[in-house]
Amino acid sequence: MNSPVELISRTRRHLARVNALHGALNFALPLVITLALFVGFERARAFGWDRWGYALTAENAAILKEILFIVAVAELIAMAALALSGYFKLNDYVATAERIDDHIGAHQEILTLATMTDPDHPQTRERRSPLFPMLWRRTIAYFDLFEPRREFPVSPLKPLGRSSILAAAGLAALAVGLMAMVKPPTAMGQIARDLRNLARTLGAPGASPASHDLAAAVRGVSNDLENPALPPEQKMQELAALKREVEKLQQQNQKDSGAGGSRLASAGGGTGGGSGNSNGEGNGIGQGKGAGAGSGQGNGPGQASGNGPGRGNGSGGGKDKNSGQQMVKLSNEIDKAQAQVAQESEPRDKTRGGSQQLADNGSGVAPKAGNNPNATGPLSNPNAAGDAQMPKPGGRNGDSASRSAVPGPQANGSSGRKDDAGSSGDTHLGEIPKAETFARFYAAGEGPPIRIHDARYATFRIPAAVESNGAGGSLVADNGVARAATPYSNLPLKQDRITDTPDEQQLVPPRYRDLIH
Amino acid sequence: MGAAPQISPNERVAEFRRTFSKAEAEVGRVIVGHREVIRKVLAALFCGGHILIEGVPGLGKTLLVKTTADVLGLSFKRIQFTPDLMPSDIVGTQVLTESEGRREFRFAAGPIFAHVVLGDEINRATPKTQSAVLEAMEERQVTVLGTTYVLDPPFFVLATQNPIELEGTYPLPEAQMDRFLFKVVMGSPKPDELREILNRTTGAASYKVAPIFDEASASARIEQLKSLVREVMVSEPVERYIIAIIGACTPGGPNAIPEVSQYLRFGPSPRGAQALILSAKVNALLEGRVTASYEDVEDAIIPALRHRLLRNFQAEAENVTTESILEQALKRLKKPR
Repeated sequence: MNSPVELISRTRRHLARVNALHGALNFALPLVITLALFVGFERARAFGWDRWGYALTAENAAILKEILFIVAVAELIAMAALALSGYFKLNDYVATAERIDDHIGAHQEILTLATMTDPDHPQTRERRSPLFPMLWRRTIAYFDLFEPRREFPVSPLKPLGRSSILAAAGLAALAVGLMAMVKPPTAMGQIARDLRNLARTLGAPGASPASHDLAAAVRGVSNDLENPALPPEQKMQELAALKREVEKLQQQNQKDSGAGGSRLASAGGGTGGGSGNSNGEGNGIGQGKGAGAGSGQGNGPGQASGNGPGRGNGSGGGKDKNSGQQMVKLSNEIDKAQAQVAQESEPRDKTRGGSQQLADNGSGVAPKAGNNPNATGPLSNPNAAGDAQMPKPGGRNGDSASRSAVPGPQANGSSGRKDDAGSSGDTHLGEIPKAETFARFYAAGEGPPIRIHDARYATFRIPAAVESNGAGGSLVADNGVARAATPYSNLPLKQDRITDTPDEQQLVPPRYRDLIH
Repeated sequence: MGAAPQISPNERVAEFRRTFSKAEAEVGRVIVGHREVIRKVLAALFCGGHILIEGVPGLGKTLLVKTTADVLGLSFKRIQFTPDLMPSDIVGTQVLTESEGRREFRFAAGPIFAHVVLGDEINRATPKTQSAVLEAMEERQVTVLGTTYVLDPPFFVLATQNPIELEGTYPLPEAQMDRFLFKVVMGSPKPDELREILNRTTGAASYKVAPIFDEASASARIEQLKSLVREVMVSEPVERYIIAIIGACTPGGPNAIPEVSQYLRFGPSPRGAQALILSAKVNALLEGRVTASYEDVEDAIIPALRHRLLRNFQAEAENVTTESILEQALKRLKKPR
């Protein structure tokens, strides 16, 4: 049989350890998460950039890593401090006895025994009374079947719950910090991200070695695109080289596909004719409103290309179709990238011209960075919009048709859409058409003669003078015109102010009160 | 005291509980209801304190005291306090006597010389007379014409006072109130109790209490039990709890609760803390323990402190009782952990 003093001492050590563990667990989850973030920081950063295009600059990344390190160290220190504090807080003989007392409902008997047997304070023995032996025996009875480990087990749920709250708070703080530090993807970044996604698709398991090579090349180019240190010329060269690769691969595929390819080609040819109608309307606008621009775009590359792939793809199928689509997408992305590089490399005031060129100089798939001599700057005539044809992806099949296409039949120029005015063309490029200010109505003296039935509204001026009936025809004042006598009318009449005080209320005798009302 | 160490602590505690239960049951045969009052009266006796019983006339206060004395086999005297009562009427006086041709002063002991003294309607006597009881209550001795007479233990004063008909009364001074260990309030009996009272008091049968001690040994036996109460141990945290209670009820103190600061002029004296500990010890013994617990202390707070708090004018105007203030203090106080 253990003496109560030994049991209390053993419980004291156990409780101190358990309390230290509980204290440490309060910071366990935050520490683990911080360490995990610290270790996997670069990977997470690359993943975020790769998947979503969100980039963290090297400087910010270094700062964040430092912060993570400091936080981890702080959490470690806090953990140790809490553990130590917890250990020493319960490493007290009397406090342990009180806790046991509460736990087993001993009505302070164990507590009283502890205050009189405290090994750290031997002088407390003087407080013992002749009844102490009875207290000792009663305490032994309480401690029968008492096992500290069983009575006070480690219960990590509560501290872990607190710990998860701390971890959530830390993660929230980190998220806020990241939001402040991270750089959202630029237009170029988005294109590069799309290229990477395509590269991932191309380099998927089971793809041909050529596709793997192409995927690697695409990855390399996409990385270079986001490298601000590289000159635009180099980027353009890389893109052009990649483009050639793609075209080569496409031709290879077409050869391999054989009949399928011819089917596609024929389909493209067929649609070339069919699309003429719709295109003709667009061109007609160009001719009608702005001749210069119209002639530049009149090549109508988008005309055939836009329609061609739609049909061609529809008639194709299977693997060829998928790889063809990927190639087309890739080609489009490269074109976009070229356009973007060109746009970023040119001064801002020429940007619109460049984009216009791109739109105009469509190769049948998408506009290229413009070196088209036909390209004009921003259209002087706002109504010359719509000249920028919407190149459609996958125009390969209708390429020959598109290149030979001439501007469509000129319309009367009456059916041009106003919204097309000044558009830089292809929203497909990720550009948003910008509204321009232009005069909505003819200025005085311009335009065709005004006919009253065309007027939206008319203003009449009532003459204040009339022509005299005399021979001289001079103007005289028209005194017969009715004039308002007062400057304001329809206002309520002003009431005269009643300055007299009202008559005093006379008390009505009760017998007459019922007569009132 | 000499026989006490020979028996084991367990037996001593058991003897205390047995005696207390028997006395409680025996008094209960005469007094219908009022179990808590009977318990407090007996507890005060074993604590070595005095008790003030407050209640309207006819509730059996005097009968309770007399029955208690009879049950314990102690001598009993009753003093009916009236405005013309003189101190010498209580403590006694020197009277000139003649024996064998010699005249001499002989001390004629007053009614205070008894084990159990009932001070009936103590607030009807003048302060001068009331103060004559002070020395006896505290010092357990009286001094007459320079001669001190020690009162036989156990000396136990049970005073009653009537909360109504206050005209012509002299409220007990604070100093005297403080000398009572408990103040208990006797309430009106419940209908069942009243019926039982009627049966017992209006019938032909009468019940004569059986003393649990014989007269010769009663005093010694009670003193032994009183010494056992003093031996009950109190841990330091429980002592701190009692000190915290006193601090919370002391207006102007750093730990006073808001209600105390608002409604009290004076708080309990150290005698209040002593009363709490002693009554907690008795409560512990009655539970078979030899250590006082927090619950034992809490059980004694209201009877031990209610008459030691002096309300201010605001409390009286708002009819805030000392009991309600003590209950607030109990609610607000946390046990030391």
